[in-house]
Amino acid sequence: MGEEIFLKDWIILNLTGRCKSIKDLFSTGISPKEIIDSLSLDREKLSYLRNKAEEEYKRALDLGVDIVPLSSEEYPILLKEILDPPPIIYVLGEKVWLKNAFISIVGTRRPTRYGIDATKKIVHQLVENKIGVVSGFAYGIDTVAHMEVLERGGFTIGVLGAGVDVLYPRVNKTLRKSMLESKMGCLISEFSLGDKPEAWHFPRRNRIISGFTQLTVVVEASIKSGAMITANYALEQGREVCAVPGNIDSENSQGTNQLIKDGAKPVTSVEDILEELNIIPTFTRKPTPKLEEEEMLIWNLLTEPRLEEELIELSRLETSKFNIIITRLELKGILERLPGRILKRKDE
Amino acid sequence: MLAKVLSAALVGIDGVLVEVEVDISNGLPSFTIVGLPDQAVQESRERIRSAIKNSDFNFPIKRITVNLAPADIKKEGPAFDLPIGIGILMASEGIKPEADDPFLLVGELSLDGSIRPVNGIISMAILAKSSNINTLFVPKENSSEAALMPGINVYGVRNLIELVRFFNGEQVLTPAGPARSIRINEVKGDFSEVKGQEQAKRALEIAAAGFHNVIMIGPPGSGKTMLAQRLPEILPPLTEEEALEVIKIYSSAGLLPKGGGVIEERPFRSPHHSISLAGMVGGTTNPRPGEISLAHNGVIFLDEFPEFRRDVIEALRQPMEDGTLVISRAHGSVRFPARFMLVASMNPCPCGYLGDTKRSCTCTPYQLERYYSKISGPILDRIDIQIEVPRLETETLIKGSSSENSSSIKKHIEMAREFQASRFREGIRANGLMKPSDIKKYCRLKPALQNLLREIVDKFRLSARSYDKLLKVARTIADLETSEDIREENILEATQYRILDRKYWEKRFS
Repeated sequence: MGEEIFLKDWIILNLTGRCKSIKDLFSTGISPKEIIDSLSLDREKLSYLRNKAEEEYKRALDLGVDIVPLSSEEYPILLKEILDPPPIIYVLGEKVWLKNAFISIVGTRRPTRYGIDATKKIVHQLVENKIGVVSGFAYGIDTVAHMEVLERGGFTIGVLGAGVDVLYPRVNKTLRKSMLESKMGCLISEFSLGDKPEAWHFPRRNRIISGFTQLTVVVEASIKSGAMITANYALEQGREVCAVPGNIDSENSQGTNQLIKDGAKPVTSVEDILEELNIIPTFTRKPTPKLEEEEMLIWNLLTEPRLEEELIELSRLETSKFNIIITRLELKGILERLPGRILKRKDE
Repeated sequence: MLAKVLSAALVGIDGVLVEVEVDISNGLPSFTIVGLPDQAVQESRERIRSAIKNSDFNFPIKRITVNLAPADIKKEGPAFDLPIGIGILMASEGIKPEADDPFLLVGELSLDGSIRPVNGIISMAILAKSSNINTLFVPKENSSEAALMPGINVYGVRNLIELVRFFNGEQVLTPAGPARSIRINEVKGDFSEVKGQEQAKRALEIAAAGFHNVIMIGPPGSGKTMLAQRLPEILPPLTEEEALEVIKIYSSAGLLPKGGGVIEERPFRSPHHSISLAGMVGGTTNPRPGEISLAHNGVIFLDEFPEFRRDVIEALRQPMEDGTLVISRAHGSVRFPARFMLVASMNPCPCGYLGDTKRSCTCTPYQLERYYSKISGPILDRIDIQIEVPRLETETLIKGSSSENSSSIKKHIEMAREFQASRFREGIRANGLMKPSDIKKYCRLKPALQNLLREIVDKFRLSARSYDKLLKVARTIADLETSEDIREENILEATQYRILDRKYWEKRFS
């Protein structure tokens, strides 16, 4: 019973939205009830919030959503340290992951092929090194990052700009499902259950993405984008920012290149990220499989992703023969196919 | 006096025998036509009156009653002018055709007594043949078309006088000879003009060889339309049976050029995406063949496939399965043949840049979802070959080596078709038209290859339905090599033509 009242007090604090004052008061070591008193809310407002907190608590119980208050052991340690941590976080899914090592990956909602590939590459090696990925569950780079983690068997956290019970964006229905069903991830949010994804929520939740981890990687971002806001938060919070360098012509790389110019570390391989975290990378490199002569021919041409058309031209193979060989290579699992008839070697 | 002559009406694309009865009796002068005539048939009274008068015959000033039997079929168009006119002359002037044989008459009369061409002549000829009527009188300009039907005497007649003289034994008419061959498709150019896109060309070659439906996905300007437009050049010629079917459709739609002729090439239709349902499948109150019937035994090319109206796309489903289309109207139902090869093309996304290496796609996932949902599963189910046609760098286009020309590709395809024909004997005409039971029968695999195919389906996470499609396409590739058995290489190659099934396509953003 005491626990319940305690949590409801935290919910009230969360509803006030005054994260910074609450954090300051909390660090003096007083109880949530005392914090509420110190905030000197007027009586009408307080009773309104109390009712709302009551509902919120019931709703969370019904939906199986965990409420983790700032005082909890389960609250992410790094997030506690920022100036304005949310008083509580709502967690849908496995909350055990909250205490694991993570890095944040953010980027544009409209990535190019390059951004998608870079994200996958980074995620892949992070998973191999048992590091989880925090991202914003938006489409584009975020979705790619979450999906790739699950695909590779890693763990991931999505920080939402809406209540954890609200599906947004709608197209991420399957991602949400697989995140929850695989038990390899959870969705967290500071916003009340049922809260709609309002535009102002997103910049605000970005501070959680950056605050959650020691390091934020920006994959592709234009100058004015949410990812740049996240990067700025990270710097304000005293965290590391890495950026994936890009083509100077590409609008999607202007933000990341700007970050590098301002002193962010460029990511050219995952080692760059791991080094920053003082982790010695472990790689399991598969030996190159045995290839027939013609398969070797194609394989050797694939030092970079290439159009099939180009490969046919360069290898001087007949189209039918070429198709046979690439199916063989694909069956051996060493070839990856990208939309637009582009082939590349599969990352090991 | 009563006279009877035989004529024919067109229902859909089939001819139906119509008996024209003319009765002339004393009484107040009048001229009535009964038996469900439409406006054009009603108006024929004026044409007939003038035509008879201007041919120096007497138009009887009596009570004339014309009955078109059976009286429950709607009679349309001016093709009854000639039989009614002759009927009147037989009843009034005592003209007696010397032949005891029954004969069939069609034609429109002009005021001066000359005979104008009408639509659907080949269907009349087929009707005559099947009703054991050996003699057919048709307008001169239609005669070569009717003569395509072997085993009947077709006389092309220029005017009323000529026909009456022939009946009276005063003039000899020679039966019309077979028609010259005509083209129905515009020639768009040769395959070798398309630089690069070897993958797509190969896929289209296989599609043409096996009559497989194809969908091409690629950004604007990648050459999808150019490739599709060159398809007619590599399609094998129509068989005699097929040609007759095609001519019948074109004739009844009035699309044959003046003078008619033999169609040897397979039709190629490319309707614009604003087409209505009736335009696509045929219809209106008096059913006319739609685009899919005009594409019978040939190709229908639907550029910008998702831009077509949804009901238009869905209406393709049944004909894609059965090869025919039944249109039901208040007056009854009409069956149109519609066994076509569908070639569809679409952009990878509404903005066209999805998967592009240089530019980012500006479509929202919601837009993408809507775009792809236009092509429903059942339609995709019926498309055997799915390929991507990427945009190529100008560099590749310029240095691209010159490839095979259309006539050489066509030779391979003809060979493959013959090979199929000898396997199927009758019934099925090409691999693409095989039903699941046929696939079981004609696409047997050795156990080792069955395992390979299973491995492919697993590894590439293909849907269960792709299994059959892969087999069909592999069968065609084997036919192109005139190989009795489906070989390992054939299956491996076929795998590359099922791009939409691949997992990466489902998760387009990752």
